[in-house]
Amino acid sequence: MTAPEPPRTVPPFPFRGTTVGGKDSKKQTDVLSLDYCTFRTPYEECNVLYRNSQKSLERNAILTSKIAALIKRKVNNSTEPIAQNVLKKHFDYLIQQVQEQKAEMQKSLDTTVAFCQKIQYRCDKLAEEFPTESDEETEDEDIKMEVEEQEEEAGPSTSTARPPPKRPPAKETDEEKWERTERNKFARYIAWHMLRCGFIEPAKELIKTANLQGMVDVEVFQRIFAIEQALHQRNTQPCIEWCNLHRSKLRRIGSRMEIVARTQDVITFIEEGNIPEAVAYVKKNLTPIAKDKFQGDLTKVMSAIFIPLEESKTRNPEYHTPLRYEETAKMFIKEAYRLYGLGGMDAFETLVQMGLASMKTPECHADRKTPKKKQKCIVCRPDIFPLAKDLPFAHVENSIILCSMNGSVCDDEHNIPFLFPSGHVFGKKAVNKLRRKNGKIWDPVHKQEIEEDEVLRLYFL
Amino acid sequence: MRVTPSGRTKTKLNTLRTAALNLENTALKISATCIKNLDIHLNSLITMRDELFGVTETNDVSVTGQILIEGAVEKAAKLSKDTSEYHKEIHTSLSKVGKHIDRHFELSPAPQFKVYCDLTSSPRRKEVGCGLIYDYVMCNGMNSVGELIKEEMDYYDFDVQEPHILQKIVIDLRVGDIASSLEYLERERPPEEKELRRSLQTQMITDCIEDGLESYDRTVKQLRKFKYPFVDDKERAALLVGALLIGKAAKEDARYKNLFDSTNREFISQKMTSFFVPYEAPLKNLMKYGLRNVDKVTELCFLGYIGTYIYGTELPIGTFLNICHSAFACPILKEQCTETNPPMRLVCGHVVSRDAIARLTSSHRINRSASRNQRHHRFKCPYCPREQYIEGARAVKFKKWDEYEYISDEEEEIEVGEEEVEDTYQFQYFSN
Repeated sequence: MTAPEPPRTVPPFPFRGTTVGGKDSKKQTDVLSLDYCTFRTPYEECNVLYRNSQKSLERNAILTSKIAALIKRKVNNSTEPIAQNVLKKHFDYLIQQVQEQKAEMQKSLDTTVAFCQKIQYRCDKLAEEFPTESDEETEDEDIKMEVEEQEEEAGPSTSTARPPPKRPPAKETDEEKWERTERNKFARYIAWHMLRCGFIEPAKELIKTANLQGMVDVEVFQRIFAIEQALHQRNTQPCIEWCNLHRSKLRRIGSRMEIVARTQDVITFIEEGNIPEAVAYVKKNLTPIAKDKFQGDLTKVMSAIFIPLEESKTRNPEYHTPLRYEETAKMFIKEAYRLYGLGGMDAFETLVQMGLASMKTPECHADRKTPKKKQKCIVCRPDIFPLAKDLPFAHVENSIILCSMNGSVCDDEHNIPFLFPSGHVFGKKAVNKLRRKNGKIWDPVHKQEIEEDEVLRLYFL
Repeated sequence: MRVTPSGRTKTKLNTLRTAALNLENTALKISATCIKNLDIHLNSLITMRDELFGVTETNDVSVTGQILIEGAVEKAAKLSKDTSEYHKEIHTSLSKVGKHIDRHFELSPAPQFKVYCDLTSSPRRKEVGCGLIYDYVMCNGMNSVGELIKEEMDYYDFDVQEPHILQKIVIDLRVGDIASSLEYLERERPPEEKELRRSLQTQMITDCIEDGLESYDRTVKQLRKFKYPFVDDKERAALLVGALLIGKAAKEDARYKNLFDSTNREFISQKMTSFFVPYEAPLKNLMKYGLRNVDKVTELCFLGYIGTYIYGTELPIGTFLNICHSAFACPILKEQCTETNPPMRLVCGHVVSRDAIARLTSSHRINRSASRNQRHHRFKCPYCPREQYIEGARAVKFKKWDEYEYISDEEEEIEVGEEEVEDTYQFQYFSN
């Protein structure tokens, strides 16, 4: 196993790709993918800040060189002293530029370093959740040695009969530690899920109680939901600023977010009857972002401006729906998640879904009859069942047969299963209770007495 | 050598960690050189300004000063340009980190079903998910989180009773303190009181054995606090005392082994919490088995045994944990019997699925020359020598029988239908 000390250069990943994610995909999907957001979200944050820093650094550099050229031209080949005030303004400006450059660089480097430390911290924390390799290796070796010993003693035939090696060592050796790890893990997944739902405060509290500081990016969600709230209050400004910040990424994922947000402003002008303002706004803000890819949107907005309001209302109902800001907010959340790679199911949802599938039996149905307090099967809970409806069933290796009457497990020794004429299975214990004094048996489904030989023995293999 | 899954995950994390470390080093290195250079030059610029543009007699900048200025501004421009170039260099390392993340931590984990489990976007679904979470946090002693969730969701009928007592019990049980649980049992006297008390006390004693002498005092104190334990179960009492005498060695001893049941603790806490929450804290199990199976399935995917999408009617791995329902896997087809493929009792009493019978009969014809549709419906039980006709087989139902079982299932279907897709946008316009 190659698990070297962190070398200076990034080692190539030693495992072969699988077919997961397409035919020639090199993606290495495994249970770590549940923690995609743990790394992706800070990366996205860092990346966008980096890009913006780069842009402003470049802009600054150009400005500096321009101002330098200006000063140089002034002093070029001069043989006379020049008045201070001719140069001073430019020189001050130059110093200011250099200072800005330095501050920007410092800021960018600081965020990068902070990001790196965050990633490293998270890597370490996650690595703690898996049993350490040395444990496993030693255990494997122990088993191997045992096997070898056995083979020496009794020949190869016994080696096939030996019990399978204990699989997950952490679960058995240190049960409590495992439980704690699991609790942490779940708390983290739940925290991400609550953030995604916009439950910032509970999530914060959970992070505090479960000691998850540094593992979850609350700020990102706080920002997103602040923007969402602003949209609900018909203020598109924060949303547009956000779009500006993330422009390059939004362009890459082909998002129409900024256009939709800005269109809302145009519609407000249209509805106020302020046509010149609307035209000016479109010219200034909408055209530059829409003219390349989203011509359709642009034409639509322009036509909405130039037809009478009443006609626009019938032609473009989506522009004039009273819920347009709510819809925009919804779209914003969706686009923001897409940008951060949070678009699919999160870890919590994945676990719930898988959990449901592993508990689902063909017998499960939305059980509205049993009182809430008495329900034992989670899949049958009426609020949960819709989630499980189209999921596959659990795979059963050893059948379990329960008595229709009292739910006790039937086996071939203590509670032999019997088939009643109605097709239901009753355990021996239940049958004994149903036996009447005259030797007949009461069939509770058909509500009649039946002969003993109508009750048939069942053999489940 | 075989790579263990956890070894692989560790390598992955390590790779990412190294990439991040690399980036950090690059950034620090640049910071050391670039920022330092900028600083030095900035200082000299400021000095120069003070010197050249300070108060002089003529308010002029001399020719020497001009030459100095020329050099300084040139350098400033260059440094500024260099800074942006340096900054650009980070990009390679940064995008490397990004690539690692995208490659080793895929967006959606492998087991994907054809349905999407959405607990986020529509209010109804959010409510379901948060209801689960609420139960979970309350059962794990995180009341403050629960309170806040409650505030966020005002329309879910949360009914956890006496949350504070619940919290105390959960937290106490986690560290092995049973006093609060016993108090509750004493006060409320639920029907399972006796059994629970016994499990609690057994757990207490086994814990004491495992922990050694430190917890001995506490154990004795708590055992004395209430009625004499095990008055009606002398046998168990004797066993426990014996185990206590032997100490840690009792764990290995055949006589006492079954006292140390690792699932006992979980059972107790689940049972205790169930008195407070309407359901028996299902989320924990759901997530636990979910995680376990996600792990298994992804492992299969990783090795290339199955694709990422699970289309079949059954999970590809064998796990069954739900003992609320009968689960019968046809011994021939090795699949769970469903409504479309019900279990059938053969005349000899063996139970197999209907599809299995169909396959048994289809291979059996009267004679070689008979055509397919003259198929004989006689077949032989695969488990015993009994030959029989297909008509003799009888369907077996596993449904739990009760009084209202036969109210039709139709209304259910309709209600389930209502739950569907709330989340479509009213207008296509608002989707990307």
